[in-house]
Formats: sequence, C-alpha cells, structure tokens
Amino acid sequence: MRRERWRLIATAAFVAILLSPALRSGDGVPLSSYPMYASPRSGEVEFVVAHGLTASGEAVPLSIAEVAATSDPLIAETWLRGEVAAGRSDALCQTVAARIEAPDIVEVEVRSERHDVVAQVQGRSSLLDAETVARCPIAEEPG
Amino acid sequence: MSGLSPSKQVGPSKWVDGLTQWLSAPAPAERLGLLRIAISGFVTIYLAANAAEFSRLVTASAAAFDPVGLARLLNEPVSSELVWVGFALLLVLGALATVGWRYRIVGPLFGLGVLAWTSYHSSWGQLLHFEHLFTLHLLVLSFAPAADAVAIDARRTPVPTDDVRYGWPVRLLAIATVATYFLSGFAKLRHTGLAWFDPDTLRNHIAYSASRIDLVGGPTPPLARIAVDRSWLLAPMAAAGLAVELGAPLALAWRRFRNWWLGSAILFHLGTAATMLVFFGYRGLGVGLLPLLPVERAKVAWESRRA
Repeated sequence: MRRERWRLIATAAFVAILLSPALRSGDGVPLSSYPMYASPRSGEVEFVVAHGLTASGEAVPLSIAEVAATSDPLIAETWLRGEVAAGRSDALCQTVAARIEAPDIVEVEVRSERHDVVAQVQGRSSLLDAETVARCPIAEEPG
Repeated sequence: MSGLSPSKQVGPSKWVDGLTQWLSAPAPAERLGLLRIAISGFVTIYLAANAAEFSRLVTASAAAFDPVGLARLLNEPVSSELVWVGFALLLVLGALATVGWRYRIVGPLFGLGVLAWTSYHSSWGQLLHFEHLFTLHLLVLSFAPAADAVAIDARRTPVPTDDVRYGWPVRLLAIATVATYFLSGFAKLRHTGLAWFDPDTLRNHIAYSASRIDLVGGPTPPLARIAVDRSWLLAPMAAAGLAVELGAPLALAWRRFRNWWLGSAILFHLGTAATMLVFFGYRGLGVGLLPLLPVERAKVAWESRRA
C-alpha cells in the first residue's frame, strides 16, 4: 500500500513537471507549453528570402537546401530571419552563395519581403513591400 | 491498456483510489520491451536520417548560438569533431538500446545523449517541438526495466510474469503523450481564446505556413489552397483540432474513446501535413501513440500467424 501511495505521489510530480511550462508560459527542451501556432497571426507577414541572379539580372529561385542547408522550412525561415535581424546579412548572403553550383547564377540577392500570405497561396499578386538587404557575387572556382 | 476509472468505493477518495489502481496495474514485460524497440528504433532511424542537420550545425555561425536545455551548460558551440563523435555514439547507443543490450547502462546513456542532442539542435533560435516527446519517452524508458523481455539481455531468461514495474512506466509514457497534446490545445485557448474558432485565425496560419515554404524554396502543401479558399471549412477544422488536443487525457480514461482518439490524432497530423506541411513524425506515424495500446497483442498475433 505504501508503494502504491509513493507511485501516486511520483506520478503527480511527473504530471506537475510536464504541465509546469503552461503555468509560466515557458518554453524549453524537453518541457514546453507548445506555443507554436497558438497565437493569432496577421495575414501580412515579413519574410527574408534569397534567390539567385543571372548575368542579365533575371531572378532564379533557389532550393531550400541551397538557401539554408536544411530540408525544414521552419529552420530555414528562422535562420534567415535571425541572421538579418542580427545584422549579419552580408555573411548570410556569402554563406548562401558558397552553396550555389548552377553555372548561370552569378549573384545572390537577400531580400526582406512583406507578403499578403492568403493572396500568395491563392496565386494572386502578394508582394506588399520589398527591400534588398544584401547582394553578393558567386565566388569563381579556381582553375 | 486498461482504462483509468474510479473504484467502486463511494466517497471523495474514489478517484484517487481508481488512479492508484490504474497506476499499480501489472503489465506484461513484453509491452514495455516492445515500446523500447519502437521508441528507440524510431529515434535511431530519425537521427540517422537527419545526418544533414548535424552537418548544418557544424558549419553554423557561432553568433547564432542561443543555448536551451542541457546546452545551457555550454558557453559556445562544440567543435565539429565532437558533433560527429556524438552523432556516431548516438547511433551506436540507439542500436544497442533498440536490441536491448546492457540496457541498464545503455538506456540512460541513450536517453541523456538524445536530451543533449535535442537541446543542442534547438539552440539556434528555433525550438524544435517535434523532438520533445520522444526525448521525454526515452528518459522515462531509461529508468525502467525495459529490456526484461524481447531483448538480447533477456534471451536466456524466461519471460517474467506481469508486474507493476512494467505497467507503471507504460502509464508514464502514455501520460507524457496525452500531456503534450493537452498543452498544445491549452496554449491555443490561452493565447487566442475564442478567436481560435474565427476562420481567419486558421486560414492565416495555413497561408503563412504555405507561403513560408514557397518563399524559402520547399514543396507546397497539397491541400493548403483548398483550405484557404473554403472559409466555411476552417472553423470546424479548428474546432476538431482543438478537440483532439484537449480531449487527449480522456483517452486514458475510457478504452472505447481511446481508439476513436487515436484515429482522430493520426488524421489530425495528416491534416496539418497536407495543409501546412507541418508533420510531427513521431506522433503522426503513430510511434508516440503506442504507449496507449496493448502492443504485445500485435506480437502474439504475428507469432500465431507465423505458426
């Protein structure tokens, strides 16, 4: 019986630990209040994007692996946003440029763009605002 | 898994007694052993499949390092050699934990190693919530006799009789699973309140996710456009998702409801994948939900089919 009571108390402590982030709105690893997608979001969102430019100035879309060396859009977006917010736009541009192998791309442009996200999904014109935050050449390989 | 129910005793303590009985109910060693295989096996494969993430962090800018969890013990990112040694160690420990070799030592090492990795992985400005539940599950398993059956450690010993020491850890795993869903639902009510049921709320979340993927160069979620175009669909979708999350604890209480809830939870994950390309693989593939099921019955059924 005593063991059963201890098991109950230990379980209550385990549940309290699991739920504790919700009481303090905390977020961490591995305990979290799971705040992702929990807050209202505006239909107008600012994104940091990167694309390639050809010699004639034509924009060429890049893959997520070329942009951020990941397959996870969440990681890619956070990284792009974080680098620009921290004032490392030029370093970000050069990091992306170092990953480009397409021979027709001669430059990388990093832009901050504000989009109407519903229009974007519906295939309508969505760009509300744009600003180039960095531009850098693709380094030519020796030889 | 038998449901949590009040005892037949009448009085204010009947729920406490019912809970105590549920926690103290014996379970087969095979159930815990099979959960060890499923959870450790999933995490090992997940780590191997995400080798590119280890590679990304090796080259990440130290300026972006923002430690959380166990990584707070670090002042700066670890060397690339240590990242790759850690990767190799985790794969070896994961394989050994899965087959149940020297689990009393390997289990805690693997659990703590995965906690260290998931902390480090989330220490670059974005918490990766899809890694939380399997980390918690491994930590619970680490301190349980999870290799007393279906394990190399147990190959020369008879299968032990059902016991509470196998049942209680399974209950803790199930509690961790439902708690993560409940917390997600609670956060929506806390941060958004009744506006969660406003079609614009879910529409903006779906459109934001789809736009983000499109703009950073990923594939478009197949059903994002359909959902965004049909605002009448969004309030029921928001309500259904919230019901799955907040209703999770009831899956512990009623066995009949449990099966409905498990099916709904899988549908919920498929829905977020199809509309937002957000897929929590550990839960969406069902591995994180297994602690709610008597998984040993699948083994019995498989063995009788072979016979």
